[in-house]
Amino acid sequence: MRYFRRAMIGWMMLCGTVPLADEISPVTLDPITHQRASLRLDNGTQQVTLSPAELEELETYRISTSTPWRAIAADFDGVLLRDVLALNDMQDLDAIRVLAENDYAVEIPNWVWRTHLVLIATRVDGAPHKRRERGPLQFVMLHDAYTNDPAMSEGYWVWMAAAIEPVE
Amino acid sequence: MDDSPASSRFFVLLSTRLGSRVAAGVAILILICMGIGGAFKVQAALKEVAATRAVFEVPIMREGFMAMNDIDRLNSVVQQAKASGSISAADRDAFEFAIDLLVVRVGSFERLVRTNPTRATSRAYDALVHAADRANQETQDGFRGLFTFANDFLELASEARVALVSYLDNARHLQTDALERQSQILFSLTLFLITLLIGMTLIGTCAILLLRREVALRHGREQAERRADYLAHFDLLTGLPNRQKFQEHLDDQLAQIAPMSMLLLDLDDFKGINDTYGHAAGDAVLRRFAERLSKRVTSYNGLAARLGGDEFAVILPQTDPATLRRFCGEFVQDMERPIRCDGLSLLGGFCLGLATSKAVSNGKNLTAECLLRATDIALYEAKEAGRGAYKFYDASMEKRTADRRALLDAIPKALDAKEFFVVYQPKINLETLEVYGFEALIRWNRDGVVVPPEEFIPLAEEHHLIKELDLYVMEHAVQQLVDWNRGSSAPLSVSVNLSGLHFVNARIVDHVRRILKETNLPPHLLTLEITETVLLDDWTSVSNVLDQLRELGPKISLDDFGTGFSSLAYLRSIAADELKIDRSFVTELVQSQEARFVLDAVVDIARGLGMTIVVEGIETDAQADIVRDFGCHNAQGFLFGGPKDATTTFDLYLSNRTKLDRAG
Repeated sequence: MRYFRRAMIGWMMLCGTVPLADEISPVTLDPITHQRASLRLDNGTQQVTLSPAELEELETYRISTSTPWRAIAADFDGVLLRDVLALNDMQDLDAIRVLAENDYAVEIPNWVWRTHLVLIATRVDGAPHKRRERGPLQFVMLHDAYTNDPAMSEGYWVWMAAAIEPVE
Repeated sequence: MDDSPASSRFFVLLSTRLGSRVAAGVAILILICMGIGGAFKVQAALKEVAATRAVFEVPIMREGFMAMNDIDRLNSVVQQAKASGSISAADRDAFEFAIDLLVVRVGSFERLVRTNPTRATSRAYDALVHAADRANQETQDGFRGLFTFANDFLELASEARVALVSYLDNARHLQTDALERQSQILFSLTLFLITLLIGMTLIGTCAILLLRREVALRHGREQAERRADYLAHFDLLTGLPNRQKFQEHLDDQLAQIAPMSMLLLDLDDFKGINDTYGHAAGDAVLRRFAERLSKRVTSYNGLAARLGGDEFAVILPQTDPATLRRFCGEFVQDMERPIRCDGLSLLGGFCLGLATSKAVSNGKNLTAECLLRATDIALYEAKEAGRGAYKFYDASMEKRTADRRALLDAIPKALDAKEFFVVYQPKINLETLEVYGFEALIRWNRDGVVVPPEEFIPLAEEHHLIKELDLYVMEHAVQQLVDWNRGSSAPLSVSVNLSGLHFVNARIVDHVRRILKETNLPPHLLTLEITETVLLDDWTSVSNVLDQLRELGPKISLDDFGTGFSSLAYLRSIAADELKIDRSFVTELVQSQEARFVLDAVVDIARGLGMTIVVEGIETDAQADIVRDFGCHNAQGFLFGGPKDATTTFDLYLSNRTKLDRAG
């Protein structure tokens, strides 16, 4: 299955359908007052908890995309999942489990953040990401890239993200 | 499979009506159509599976459970506040948090209503909207009617749960149906693919078999064509090019006006080899001869061919006489090595005639016919020269050939003009020295010149005119003998020569019968001397003719024994009365012990077979003495008188008889 997956990715890379994180450039964001939220990073031996402001101390990026629930595209600002994972040495894990404030949980395999641009959005259209807009911390991908990759799952669009853990 | 009768009939039918090529094409076309049809079917099935997959892509189940969770969460916060009788700041935050979650869930359900507009989805959506709206309203009212709100929300949450349970059940059905549909699609696809596979295998097998058949047929056709082409251009026995191929090559060379030489080769005594050792030996000789010739010719960049029988031809890209002589010399050497076949060691002697393009019309306006004719003349000359000879064509040969032709053409006319006459040579008894008979010989007075018999007799034999000459001699000699014997108390005998050509059928028997009847010569006074200068093939037929002749009464004599084609086998096969030993045995009798030894042996054999012996060519008294000592009683030769005309002969006979009478 892993080899099939790699073959698929290789093929898609050849066809130019897989946007990589390196394809976009960082943006500088103006300081704002964020919604109250936190993201706990637990690599099994160490836990790090970060607020939206602390997350934005990493390099920030902007992607414009629609979502499964939002037909009109919006500008999402935030940090890359892989950069966030690197903060707590989790970027090489085979898979992570993401927990949401509403008790939702999903496992995301390594190839997702390696081959796709996965942003943990802290702002929408320049404003703090509200909970009613699936904030304050939402996993966002380019909608076209998501729909073009049959292996991608809607479950990876986590909103109200609260914690990231290694998969046992 | 193709060996079974049913499939054979099927293929025969196919090949008869359509031709295996067309059938194979149709089968392949069907295969392609099936392949394309199969691909479309698979694509359609995959599309259908993809359509059912949408049910799973949208997380309808998850949304239902999460909505249930969100309702419970909010209801829990509300009921806790109701239980405590007031709402604290922490409760307010928890309340707003729960409402936020519910509002977001309503948004998610809004999408579900769009994508999956079932009644259950709409009911669940409506229930969630009512709950969210009521909660929002209470928030805006500042939780003033908390108790009433808590009771209302309990009911709303209950309704929402019922609606969500119904929704989840519906979603489960949808997913189950989708799974079942996928299973059906997969099953029908599998069935289709298996059927397709079996069909394609069957048709593919048919196509392969038909193609194999077509390939085999084509292969067979090509092989037959190659074989036919080979047979048309090559000799099967020797593998050399045949006359056709030789002619084509010759024409090519002539078209290029290339200097060249043509050689014609003829095996010596090939018929004798066939008759004596059998056709297998003859074939072996031909094969070995061809091998050696081909090898030698190839080293001179030429082409060797077998024209037929024991005739071979060569074209060499050479006109240099020295080179050509070297070639001839080398090939003569090649053929000096005996040919071994089944323990036999045979010699493949040959005659060779050669003509160069330069010698024939100096290479100008040279045609195949000219070159072939010139080479043929040279070969004829070579044959005349004897075994193992080779001759190069030159212009002088043309005259000899023309003379020969003229001589040949003159023979029938000379017969009509009675230019031929008979001479008689006495045959004497060595003991008494009395003449007991004569050998009648033909001579030709051509325009006042007597043509030597060795010039016209072989020619007449070669062209089958000898039979008329033999009959001419027999008729005249027998009549002459009858005249001489009239009133004589010691009748003379006469011997006439008969060519071997007479013995191919029994017509000679009728001729002899007629002549004896017409002349009334006592048959025992006639001796028929068989000169075997041509080879007799069918010994049974020859013996049969000879038996019929013997029944008429004449004696049979084997002439020129020891020359020509005569052999010991020949002696054994023909029941003859007389054996005439050739002059070649006599010539060296005086000087050579070996010659005497051979003569002694031949005499022994003849005696053993009950034959009378006549020795020819006695020219000296010493020879006559030796022959007499060997026990030979009859002789012939210049010592006793050469061939003379009838009058002279008879006068000499009478004179000699008078002398003998006086001496006696």
